Order: sequence, then structure tokens, then C-alpha cells
Amino acid sequence: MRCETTRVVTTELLGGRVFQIDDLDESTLVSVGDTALSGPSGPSLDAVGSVLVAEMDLHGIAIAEPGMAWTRFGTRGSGDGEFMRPAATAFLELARLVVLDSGNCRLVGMDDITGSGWMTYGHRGRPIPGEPAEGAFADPRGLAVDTSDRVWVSDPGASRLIRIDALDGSGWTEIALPPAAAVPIPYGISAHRDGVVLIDAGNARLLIIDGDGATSSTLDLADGTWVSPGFVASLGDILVVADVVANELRLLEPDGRGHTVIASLRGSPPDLTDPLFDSVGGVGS
Amino acid sequence: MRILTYNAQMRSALMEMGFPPSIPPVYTAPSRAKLISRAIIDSPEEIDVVCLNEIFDEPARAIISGELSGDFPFQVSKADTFHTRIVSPGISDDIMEKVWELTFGPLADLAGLAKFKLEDSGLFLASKFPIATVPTPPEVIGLLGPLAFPNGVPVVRFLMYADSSDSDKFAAKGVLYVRLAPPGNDLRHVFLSHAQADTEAKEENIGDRKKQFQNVADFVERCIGETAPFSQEVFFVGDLNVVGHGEKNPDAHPDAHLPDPEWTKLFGTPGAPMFDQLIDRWGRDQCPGGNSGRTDPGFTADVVYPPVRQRLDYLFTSASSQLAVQHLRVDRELADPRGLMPYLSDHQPLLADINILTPHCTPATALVTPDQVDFHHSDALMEGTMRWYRFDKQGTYDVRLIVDGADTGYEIYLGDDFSTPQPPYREIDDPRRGTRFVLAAPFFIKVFLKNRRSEASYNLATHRHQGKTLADAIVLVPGVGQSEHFPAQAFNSDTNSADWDDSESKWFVVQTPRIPVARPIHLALTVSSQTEDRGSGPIPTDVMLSLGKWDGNGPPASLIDQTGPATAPLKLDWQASDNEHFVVLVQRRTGTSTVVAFNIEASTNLSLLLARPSVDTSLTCQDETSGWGADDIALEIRADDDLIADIPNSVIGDFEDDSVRHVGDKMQPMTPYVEGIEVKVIEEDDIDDDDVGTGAIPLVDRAPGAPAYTVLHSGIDGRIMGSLRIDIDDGRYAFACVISRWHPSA
Repeated sequence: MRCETTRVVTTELLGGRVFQIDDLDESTLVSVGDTALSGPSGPSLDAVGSVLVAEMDLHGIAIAEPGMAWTRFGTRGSGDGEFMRPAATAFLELARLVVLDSGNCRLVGMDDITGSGWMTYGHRGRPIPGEPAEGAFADPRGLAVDTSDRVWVSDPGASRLIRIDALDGSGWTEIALPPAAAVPIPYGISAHRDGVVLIDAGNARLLIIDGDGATSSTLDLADGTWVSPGFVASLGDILVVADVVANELRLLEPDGRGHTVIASLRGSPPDLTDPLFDSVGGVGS
Repeated sequence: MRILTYNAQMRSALMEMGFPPSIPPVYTAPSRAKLISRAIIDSPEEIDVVCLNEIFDEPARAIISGELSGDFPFQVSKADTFHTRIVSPGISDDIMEKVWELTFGPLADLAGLAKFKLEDSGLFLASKFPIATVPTPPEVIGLLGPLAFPNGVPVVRFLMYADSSDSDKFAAKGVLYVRLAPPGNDLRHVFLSHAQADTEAKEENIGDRKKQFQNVADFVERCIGETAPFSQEVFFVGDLNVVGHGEKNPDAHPDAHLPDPEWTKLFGTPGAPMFDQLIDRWGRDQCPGGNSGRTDPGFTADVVYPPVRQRLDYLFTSASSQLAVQHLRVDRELADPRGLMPYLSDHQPLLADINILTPHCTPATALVTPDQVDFHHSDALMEGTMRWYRFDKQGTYDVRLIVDGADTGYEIYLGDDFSTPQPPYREIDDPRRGTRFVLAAPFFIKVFLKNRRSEASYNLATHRHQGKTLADAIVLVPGVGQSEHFPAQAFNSDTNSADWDDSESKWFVVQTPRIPVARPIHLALTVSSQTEDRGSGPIPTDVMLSLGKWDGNGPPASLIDQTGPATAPLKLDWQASDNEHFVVLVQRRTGTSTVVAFNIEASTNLSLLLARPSVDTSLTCQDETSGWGADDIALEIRADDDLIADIPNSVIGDFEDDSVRHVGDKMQPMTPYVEGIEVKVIEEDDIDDDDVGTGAIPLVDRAPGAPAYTVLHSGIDGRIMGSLRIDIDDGRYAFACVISRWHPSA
């Protein structure tokens, strides 16, 4: 029996607003920050309720403490303090910030939103037979930090999921994904238990991956009820999956055999002329 | 009345996020909306009613509605599950379905049908004519108050289809009804739809479409309040996703052991949903195919499965209509991105000119001209009427129109292309005889008022060249044989136009293109089957074949080669460069008392890649390469190894499955070649080596059966529309274009 409140943050990639919502209950939908952002994506939520997002179109990041305005950082480029279409964010323990700087194919670590303690890891590339291309990302899109502070990156451009122990790249591991009919496209990702939950967009499936990299369960998202599931957030056993084309969030609860959808919230339902939210640029928890 | 129907492919950003999600989405709808709106407003032919499909994107919808509002103040800008948006003077609001239900009665279980709808219907109608109204019922006043609809409720209704599949099931697909009230005219009942699409193969979703069209047929009767034959004027338009046929084409009625195509089942068979009450004006009226001489296939879209060009967009009118669809054409100029965008839509618009029924006002009822050298006809036009003339003999024609009254023009169309007016031959305009055209047959001349609200009388005069003089010479089109004859009387006498004996000679002209041609052009002539008839049937006879060169302006021509006289086939071949001018004389040698007939044909090693109308040249992604994200495509085209188009990814854009880009506007209108055209599709990769796929467009002579090349249409003037398959990595692209040995503007 579920009793805790499930709060997630979600972004409007197009409209630029960022929302938090509890239990996918429309009445709890509230806007975060003081203004719309520019292509907000890959939100994350820390323990005190601060919301961190990547601003893809402005090549920066923004953070809002509860009830406060956005504080922004970053400009376009590939140097220090610069991003190129960042896609996702996460909090490390001790509140360090991690940003997936997708266009520069790197991870960025910072002590805080001022950019202090700036460090990067990663470069552009992809594996070829005999060359695992450690430290290389082709088109990274998803970012998660697990309970052990390890960093997971989904890289659909190289069709692989990477885990590293720390932002210096130590413990680089390519996580084997279970075979499927089509080439895997690892996309949305969230920390889940001691590992992650991952959406394989190429095979319309959701994979629950343990901390050791083993896939413990698979949920089929090709049952005809999903259009284009892209993002996922985890809250304990509860999952929130965003279907980006349906513009819908769905709450999934374990049912003993897998997961069952127990609630959903559509951003643009047919009986509304003004959408609640016009798109989904990510969900975070 | 002119109606435009256009699938403008304004997919929303949400739809473009697609599967797998690509960020940022390939999202150009607002930019294209602006260009399409301007093209509609600036159309040389004033349009009255605009019917659009796939207006899903809200920013694009707002742009189109706003841009068109000045010229088209009466709009239904959105038809959705529970509301329909009316934009007109006095009303600009989303009208809830309850209003329509209270006014016109209930339609269907909306809540059930709307359950999985993510998008509206995509239907958009804008009109110069007001929308008819009915008195506001007391129930609506009770619902909305006494100020609601003071001038009556607009007669608008949207019926959502119950049957749809694949990705279409997520949109509120249906049929929109708008009753228009043109001032001074009867009501016009306009129905607009976008029927169920196929995704992998032709006719895969025929079942859904059949049910949808039955819905439409029933809906039409309900909305206009009568059953067929209708006494009112009904129009049904849109992208119906049925591969169009001509009713007289053999493929519309295959052998008994083969099933009829979908078009025949739905639109071309008595008792079918759209046969008795409504008529597909392209396939059953203007261009029925077969031996009608009106054989334009009317392609309106590039698709990813065979046939890769299809006629999918339709105009139906009531079978009992008192109006004539005077001209129905694919408006390729309106769809031209003109170098400003990679494309405007994956479809092309269909424009119908509709007017009262008058004699010879459509291609089907064209005045069939007699087989005579000179033809004259006088008539009068008023209030948008037009006249069509049909000519069944190919040749070189001088055409002159003398007008008394308002500005009046004429256009000439080949029987297999009612959308592209034929250009004059080398812009030659004889002040006495008129403008010169070189035409395959049958061809049709349309005489029309340039301003519909005017009147004029005119005299149309045509002269078919007989080859009596240099000025009367017959232009030889390479690859197109001609049968000619000398009459049983004196034909002509020796002149100073040639520096050899040109008496009793037929004059022909061969000219090489004015555009630069880097390689030598090989030309050849064959005269064959030369016969004389002395009353007992044709017998072989001698003729002489002479080749001369002239300056292209006037006589004299200088002899450069000669063969004959002989009864056997006569051949001459020579080499030329661009912009050279030759005369060919066939001289009879047996007196003037008998008819002498012969065949003559020119040939060349030269082919032309024709890039106008620009939307005829396209690149389509039939199967995206695997892996993450869209294909970052660049396109290079070489003619005889010379680069003629270098279109970077920043211009042509990224490709996903079904993406169509028009590229004719991004290269020269005509490119000559004597070896071949290489088309190179490059998928740029910023990490690994680029993936490259190449294909070869053959010379016209070698087009049938050329590797990876499919002939889509063989024109009566020798042009070939074809599609080249290009494999790249594990993906597949198609490059479609038109090639020809010749062009009157070249």
C-alpha cells in the first residue's frame, strides 16, 4: 500500500515552464521559479526541494530554491562556464551539481550554481570493434546519480549505458543491455533503488537495472497504450513515465508481476483549449 | 469560385518529437505557415476558399489564421473533439460541441471517440464568402445567454471518425462541414477531410477508409438535408489517402483475376460510397485516362512505398452539379519553397476553378478543333468563364489571341499535364502569326479572363507549320517521330533561304540548347518510309535529305551535308555544340502530282535534367538509417562529373522516415548531360566517417530498365518522371526528378 506522496518535477520543452506535481494530481500542479526558461530539460530535485534544470536553448542551467526565482548560469561554448545544449542535471551527495553537457559530450561538475569547483569529464566519440572508447560519448541524453553517488549516462548516440564511480571517470563501465529486436536506444533514466530505471526507446521498453548492472525486470511499453515514452523518474518503487508525444505523465506502481498504471495526467487533454503543460522536456525526482 | 485544397503538413512540435524522441525536434511549421499563407494571398489566381489539412501546430495555426484573415475573414480554424474554432467578424471563439448539438442535433459518442485523441483534426477552412447561419435556438440562448450568436449560429459541423488506426488514431480525424453563402449565389456546401493514411504499403488501411467515406456520404446527406441526386452544390475536398486512378485507365479495371484498386472500389464503381452522389473531378471528369487524351496522373504527394508518387488529394462535387469544374490543377508554384525552406509540405495543393456551366468550359468538353493548318474561333467570356480547345495533331504552332475588352489570356496544356502551362518555343513571337509553340498532342488551349470580374470577346487563331519556308519550318523534337507528306500539288519553289536547291522541300529545324553544354552534342536524322501514292497505294519513292546551318535569326542556310536521293532510309549525323541552328530539308524528286509521305525523326545523345516546377525534384527518406536521431543529410548532384548542386545539411535539413525535401529550387532550372547524373546522398557523421550513397540518373534513352530507376510517368512529349533509389548504410532514399531530351525553353 502506497502512502508517501510522490512529487516530481517536469519541464515544458516548448513553453519553458517548470512544474512540480504530487501524485499526478492536477490540483497540486504548481509552477517553479519566476519565469519561463528556454528549452528546460532534464530536471532534478534535491532533498530540500530545490529544482535544477538544463536550459538547452540558452546553453546554461538554472536552479530555483523552493518558492524562489531562478538563478541562471552558463553561456554557449565549450570552455569553462560554458555549455552546448545541456540535456540533463542531477545532484550529487553534498549538493554538488552535475550537468550533462550533451553538445560537448561531457559531464560537468560544480560546487554550486556560481560554477565554482568547475570540472569536466568526457569527450566526443563512440566505440568501434576493439576500441571501447572509454570516456567517450556520442550523443548523451540521460543522467542519473544512484544511491552510491555513481553517475549513469544514457548515450543513445552510441546505443549504450555508461556508469562511472565518480566525475573523474573512475570505474568506467559499459552496462550490457538485454538483447532485443531492435538496436537499443537508451534514453530517459532515473536513479532507482541502488541502480537505475532506463527507457530503451528503440524497443519501447523500460528496464530496471540493479546497481551491479544486471537488468532485474523489463516492462513492455509497446502494448499500444503508449505513443512515445521518453522520460522516467523514480520515487521508491513508484515510477513516473512521460510519454512525450502523448504529452502525458503516468504513475506506475508495482503489482507483483511488474508495474501497473494507477494515475495519469495529460498536458493537453481534448476538452481543454489551453493545455496544462504543452510538452515534456523531462521528469525528475 | 476557386477552391484550394492543400495538405500543408503543419505537424506540431509534439508530433515532431516522434519516436524515438529527437531533441530538438525538426520543427519548421511556423516558418512554413508564413510562406504558405503569403503564397495563397499572392496567388496569381484569386482563391475564394482555402481548405487545409494537417494544421496541427498551434503557432502555425495562429499564423495562417492571422495572415489569411484580411482576405479570408470567415474561418473555421480548428475542428477538435469538443470544440470548433470559428473566426469571423463578430465571432472569434472556440464553440463548444454542445452548441452544435443543440442547434443541429447529436452526432456521436464524443467522449468515447475523444478518449485517445492527442491532436485535433488538423482541418482548417478559410473563406472569402460568409458562413451561412441559422436562427439561434432557444436552447443555445439558454446555455450561453441572450447575447450569444445575435446573427444566428454558423452552419458548421464536425464529425469525428469512429474508425482509424496507426498514428492517425491519436488525431481527431473526421470531416468538417461548412455551409458558405456567397453573395448573389446559391449556398455552397463544403466538406473537408483528411482520411486515414497508409504507412507501409498501399491500401493497407482500406478498411478504415471505406468506413470513413461511408460516414462522409451519410454526413453529407444529413447536413444538406437531402439524398442524391442533390439539388444543391456539394464539394468534398482533402487528402483522402486513396491512390488516384483515371476511370478509363486499364489499371482502374484490371483483369477479372485481379482485385480492383481501392479507387475503383470507393470512387469508381456504381453503388460505391463516392460514386453516385459525388464525382472525383480529376479521375472521372478532367483526366479519366485511357484513350481520352486526358491522361495526367495528377500526382500530389511523394510517399515512401510504391508507387512513390501518388494522387492523394481530391476535389469531389455533386454528380448533379449545375456548375463546371473548369480547370483542376496541381498548383506547383504555390508549393515552391523558392529557396527559402527545405520544403513547404510533402503534398502539393490542388486548385479548382468552378463556374457556371457554359459550352467548352472544361477540358472534357473542349472544342475539338478540325485537322487543318489554320484554325480561327471567336467567342466571348464573362464573369470567370473560360473556353478550352483541343488539338489532336502534334507540331509547331503559332498562336495568336486578339481581344476586344478586358485583359484575356491563354495557356496551353499537354493532355498529360494540366498543371504546367507549356512555355513558348524559345520566346519566338511572330508579330503576324503570334507566339510559337512546339507541342505534343493532344494539347489543349485555355482562354480565360485574367480578371474574373470582367468580360471580353476574342479571336483565337492558330497556324500549324507545314515546312513550306524557313519561317514555317517544323521544329524537330529529338526522339519524337513525325509523319509528314507533300500534297499532290506544287508545294514550294527554290528560294534564297538555302544556298542549294530547296524547291519542293519540307523545312525542318533542329536547334541545340542555349544553355552551355560542355560536351559535344551528337545529333542524327533519319528519314524513312518515304512513299508515293499514284492511286494504287503507297510505293517506295526517292527523297533527298539535306542539312544546313544558319544563324538562328534568318536566311540563308548553308549546306553542310546531304544524302540521297534514295528510297531506303536516309541518315545523317553530325556533331554540334550549344546554341547552334540547323535546317533540315526533305526534298521530293517525283514531281508534284502525287502525295509523297515520309517519316522523320531526330535523335541526340543529350538529355536534360528539368528542375522546374521545382517540387517535381525531391529527395524522400523511405527508410531512415538505423541508430540514434535523424539523418544529417547533405546532397550532391553531378552532371557528367560537374557539380551542379551542393546542398548542405544546413539547407536541406535532417531527415527521418517519410521526410520529403524539394530541391529543384536549389539548382539551375535545366541541366544538360550526355553521360549521366550522379546523385550522392551523404549522411554526415560528426564522429565516424560519413555514410555515402550514390545513384545514377540515366540518359532518357536508357531510362526504362535502368538500375535502381523507376519510371513514374512517360510524358507524351518524351519527358520522363522517374525515381532513383539510393541505399545509404542500412537506410533508403528516393530522388525523384524529370528528365527529357528537349525542352522548349532550352
